[in-house]
This record gives sequence, structure tokens and C-alpha cells, in this order.
Amino acid sequence: MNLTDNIPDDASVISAILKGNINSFEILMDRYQDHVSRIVRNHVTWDNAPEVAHDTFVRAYQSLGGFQGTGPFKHWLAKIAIRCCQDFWRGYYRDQENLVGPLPDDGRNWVDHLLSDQSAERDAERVEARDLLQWALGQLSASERMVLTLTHLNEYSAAEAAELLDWSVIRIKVQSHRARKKLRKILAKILPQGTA
Amino acid sequence: MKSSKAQIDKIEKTLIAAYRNQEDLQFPPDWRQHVMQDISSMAGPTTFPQAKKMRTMIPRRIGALAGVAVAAVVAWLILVNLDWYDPWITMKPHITALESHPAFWLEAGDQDSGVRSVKVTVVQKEVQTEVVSKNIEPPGGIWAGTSSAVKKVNFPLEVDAQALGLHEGKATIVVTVRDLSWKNWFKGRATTLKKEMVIYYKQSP
Repeated sequence: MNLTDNIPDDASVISAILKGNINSFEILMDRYQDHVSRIVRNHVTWDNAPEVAHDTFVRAYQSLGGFQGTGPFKHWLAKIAIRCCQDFWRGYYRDQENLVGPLPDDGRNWVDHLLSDQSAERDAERVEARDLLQWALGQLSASERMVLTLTHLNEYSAAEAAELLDWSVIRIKVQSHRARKKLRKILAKILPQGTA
Repeated sequence: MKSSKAQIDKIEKTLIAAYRNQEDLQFPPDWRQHVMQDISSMAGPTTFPQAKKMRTMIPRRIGALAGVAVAAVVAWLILVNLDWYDPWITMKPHITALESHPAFWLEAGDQDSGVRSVKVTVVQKEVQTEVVSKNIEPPGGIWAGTSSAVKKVNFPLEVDAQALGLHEGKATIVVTVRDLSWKNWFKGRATTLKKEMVIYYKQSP
């Protein structure tokens, strides 16, 4: 029987995989590759996103035996993706070579240009903006970065972020507030001299 | 010139817009093959972290609750058993000269944990001579609780100077009472009463 012809639901596919039909895992990858790629793209650097997505599916496969089906597989997979991103940042910050250096000149020029120009939309498309954001986020801890990315940049509610990170809602709110305050302090330091 | 807050707001808003304006991620063409190769080389799906979490989280919560309960019990025991008041002592009559065979009336007590011991000594020229030593700890000692403890004790105290081998001259009667509290590393609170005396013996006719 070809499973894809009958469009089996996730539970049937998972059951087939657990019985030893490893190739059925490709069905899950087909269904959720975009979902996982959106999550990891939003949480890790562009260059590392494919690797983290790879880890997400491998970890999902390894843990499949414990999927209890109490919620949608998509949510379960999202949690794994978020935790893979968190693990990525923990490893990244442990590596001394990845310590954040001073703000590159391009970033400083972009800030000067932005503050003198009225068109924010055009500037938003600039690569420098994304690089500057990564530079600023790089000065936060792995946890601060994750919680800020979830709540502030991706607009997840505190309850949603709490479920994904397996934290309490209070902890999410407190950490999110602190992380944003810290980010704004970092941004304040790059204002042209005489304005900060 | 705009305020720095307005400038930070503008930078932040623009950065968020740039962040949300990212293109879709393009996976390398052989990306999926690599994932499938990796999982094919594995033993197979094993335990799910959530199941593991259930096993570890429950004992952790119970452990935390047990820790809090134990800490509360220990704190309560310490607070109750450290006791708040020292024992008290009275010795009558108030005399300063000790004839050969005088008698006193000694009263001692402790309102919290009760009396553990009463010890009376006479110190003369740095030599300490024990007159009486009473241990009135209830069975179980400091763990027996306050209900069986002796709160007050009184008895006649005879100081037979000659029998004790004391010489005529200055001497100090020292009465020490300890209670059953946990103070001083379970030795209890102590109160000491010192009475300066002059010992003299009546000359035989």
C-alpha cells in the first residue's frame, strides 16, 4: 500500500514508522518541512538554519516513540524545533570564537542613514538592518535571545512562548521584559554621539 | 534633534520590520537525503523527552515539596527548642559568713524547656569542690518534650565546710543551673549564681 495515495493522517504515518517503515518519515518531512524551516529561520542565523532544521527532524525521529498524540504533531514538532534552536544558541555562545565584536562600520552607517532619512521601509530591506539586529541579539544570552525572538519579534503570546520553551508564563514575561530593556540599551549605545 | 528614546524606537521598529521581511529559507538540494541517511543509520525511534520529563519532573516536585516541609519542620524545632529565657536561681538566706554547718534553701527553675541539672560548687583559692550535682533530665533528655520536664526544683543545701575540707577564709559558692533547650549546641542555656562567703569555724569551748 502506498501511504501517500490514501493521504494517511499523522497518527497512521507515525504508527508505520514505529513499525519499522522508516521511509514513511519522508511524509512527515513533506508536510512539515516548511513549518520547521519557518521556525528555525526566525530563530537562528540564516547560514545555520538548514543544520538546525536537520537536527529538528532527526531529534523528532528519535523521540517519535514517545509522541502520545494528545495534541497535534505539528505543535509537538514546533516544540522540538524551538528546543533545537535553543540548543544551537547555547552551543554558539559557549564557543569563544563567536563572541560579539564591536559594531561593524556598515551597521553604524546604516544607523546614521536611518536617523537622517524619513524612509524606514526602504531601510528595512537592507541587509545591514538584519546584520545589525543579529549583532545586537548576539549580546544577549541564549535564553534572552530565544524569549525575545519569540515574544517580541515573532509576537507569540506569553502562554504560547511558555509552552514552547517549557517555562512558566511569569518567567516568560519577566525574561522578555528584561531582554527587551537590554536590547534597547544596546541600541542606545550605537546612537550617533551627542544624541544618546 | 529627536530625543534618544524616539531614535531608539525608530531603530527598533525598523529592525523588527527587516526581521519580518525575510525571504523563505532555501534548503540545499540534498538536505532531505542527508536527514534520511542519518535516521536510517539510527537504531530507531526511542523514548520521547516528554516521557522522560514526566519521570523526572514528578520526583523533582515531590523533592522540592519534601525539602520545604523538612526545612519548615527543622526551623520549627529549632525555634521552639532554642528556648527564649535563661533558667533562674534563688538561694536563701542571704548570709555572707559561713559557719561550720549552715543550710540554705535553693530554688531553681526554667519556664520554657525545664531544668536539666543543678550543680553547686565551692571555690576557694582556685580549688573547686563539688557540693552537690543533680541531674533532673527526664527520660529521653532533650528529645523528651516539655510535658515531662521539671519546671521548678527546690531543696535544702547543706554546705559542711569541714567535711568538704574547706579552710577558714574567703570562698565562693557557685550554683549553675542548665535547662533542656538546644542552645549552646544542645548543652542548654545556663545561669550561674555566685555568692562570696567567709568561712570560719567556731572555736571549741
